[in-house]
Amino acid sequence: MISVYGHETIEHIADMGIRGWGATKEDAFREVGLALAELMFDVEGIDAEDNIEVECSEPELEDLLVEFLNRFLCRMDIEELVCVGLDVESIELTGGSYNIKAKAGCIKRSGVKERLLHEVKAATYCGAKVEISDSGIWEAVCVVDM
Amino acid sequence: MNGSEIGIHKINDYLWEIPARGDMIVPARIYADRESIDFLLEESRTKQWDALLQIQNVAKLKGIQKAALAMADIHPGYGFPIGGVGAFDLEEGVVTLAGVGFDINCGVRSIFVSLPREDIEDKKEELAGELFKLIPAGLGATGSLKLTLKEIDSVLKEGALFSLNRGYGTTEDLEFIEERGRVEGADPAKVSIQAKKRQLKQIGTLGSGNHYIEVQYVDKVYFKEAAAIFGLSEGSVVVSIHTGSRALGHQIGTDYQKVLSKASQRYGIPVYERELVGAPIGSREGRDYISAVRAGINCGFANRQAISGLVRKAFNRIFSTRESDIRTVYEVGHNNLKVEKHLINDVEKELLVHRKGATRAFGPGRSEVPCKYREVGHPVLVGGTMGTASYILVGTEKGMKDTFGSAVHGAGRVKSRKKARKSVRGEKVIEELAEKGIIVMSHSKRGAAEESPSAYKDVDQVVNIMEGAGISRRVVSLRPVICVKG
Repeated sequence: MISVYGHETIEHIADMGIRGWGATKEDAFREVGLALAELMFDVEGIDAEDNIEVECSEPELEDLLVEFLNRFLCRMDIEELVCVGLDVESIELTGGSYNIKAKAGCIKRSGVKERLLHEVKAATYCGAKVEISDSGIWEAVCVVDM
Repeated sequence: MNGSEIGIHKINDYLWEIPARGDMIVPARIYADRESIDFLLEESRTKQWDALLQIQNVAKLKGIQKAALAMADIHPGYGFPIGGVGAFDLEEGVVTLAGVGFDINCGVRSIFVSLPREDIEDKKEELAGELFKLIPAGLGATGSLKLTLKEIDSVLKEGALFSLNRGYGTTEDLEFIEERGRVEGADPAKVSIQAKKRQLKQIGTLGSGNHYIEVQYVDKVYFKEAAAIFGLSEGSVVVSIHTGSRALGHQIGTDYQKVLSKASQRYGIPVYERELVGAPIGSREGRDYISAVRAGINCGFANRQAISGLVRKAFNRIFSTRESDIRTVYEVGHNNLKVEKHLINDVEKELLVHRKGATRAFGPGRSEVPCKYREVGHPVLVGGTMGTASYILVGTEKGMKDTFGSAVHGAGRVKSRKKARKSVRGEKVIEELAEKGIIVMSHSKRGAAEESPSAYKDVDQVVNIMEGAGISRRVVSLRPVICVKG
């Protein structure tokens, strides 16, 4: 299997769609998380100073995607952080629910105010999907309210 | 889909109807002219997001009264179209998250400043700089009020009074804010700790995106008697603040998405779109959500009261204004949930009215309208796009009857943010507006492109439609001289 991953923003009339893809579910979630981070911050050339962990469980992958991104947003906001990197360690199905464990490399916002781009209110269910294509590439998509 | 496929027909030049069919309990009615209906039908046919389908889904919700309504600034939202209005029977009806949205009590306050327009023009660079400096805006901006969790609970119960008691604005402001700046029935216990933590430093912040502060002047008076009652005349200087409940409102939306999803399953409410979830109004989940929304509404009031205090400070620094030189004309929200009395088949009933990107527009005689304005109705504050006209309208008796006293809130988007950025650079937008004498101070050049006038419908067209339909009337138009954005 060719290892291919990436992320992008996609059209939406009022807000912004984000899409991540990769060889595994973990890759796709990582990439969509990075798409969200890059929508909010210009992170090029910045190294993380700290790490935070984000973990949650939901019965369906689309619910997991939205919940994961919203928990991520909430942590960024409360702790006034900028995410400069993301690693999704695992997405496992246990006891009927998908559980995600991820780690985000961060720095304090106060040091990089000029790099702050968009405020994102929430990840929504609009267009939310997590699926694997015939070619074996996982894709995670949703729209964020800005 | 084309018009005949969805059964849309013209009632008159400004009103269209999709009759109730299938699971629709009531018809869907859309205020639009030919051009805008054709645009909506084209969007319906070609795009993933479909405002006409959304308004039909609203018409399927249990307990909805009369019609699912879309004002002339209709565009797709999350489950419920922006510009959407749905009123529900309290016994049988549901409350839906989509009908309020994430930015609870996003709205506008307009403030009159007793200074000649020429004075503003002479010092507009300084004034713009002072507003930009004093009022936190954009991602990561924090307010001067750094609150504790206990104080946030007070914000959620007290609304505008909280900020007033902290020295922002004057007591006279309260009379001219809808609900006097505070709704009853707000329960901070129904708001999560995360929502409160996100808000600790955000009271008195503008936000970003389409939030703004504009210094404007009255360009034209259309309805002389109403303008006189509002204390406005040609050349009057007005400052308009557009913002909402900030991160707290957003988190309430996120938190209750899950609660109301489960409630929809529990109570057998069909879910036509993921955000169009809800619960019976009288259920535990419904009551909890309504209490949380009321807390969010009070947060929006507190935020705008704090910002209005900062606006006063800016004017005082540049012009040495006195307290009496600045007064609130009105403040009204456009993402809201209200219990209101309306006539259904000539019988007065209490209904739960959702307005999502739609402004309450109570006409003459309503007790909710401040005494000073009761003869004509309260001001309805409609923001244009950056650099274009805004309007102050009033509601009408026909509007009370046909739309539960509702009107538009703004112009509505026609271009995505991506397309807007591709079509114009933020710096160019700012330069072009400067050539027209409008100073734009934006924390984000990208944001300036995304909010450029070309990304939105023509606000004149939107206001014309509602006036043509007899739902609202123009009182004055306002032109900006300064625009501060996040």
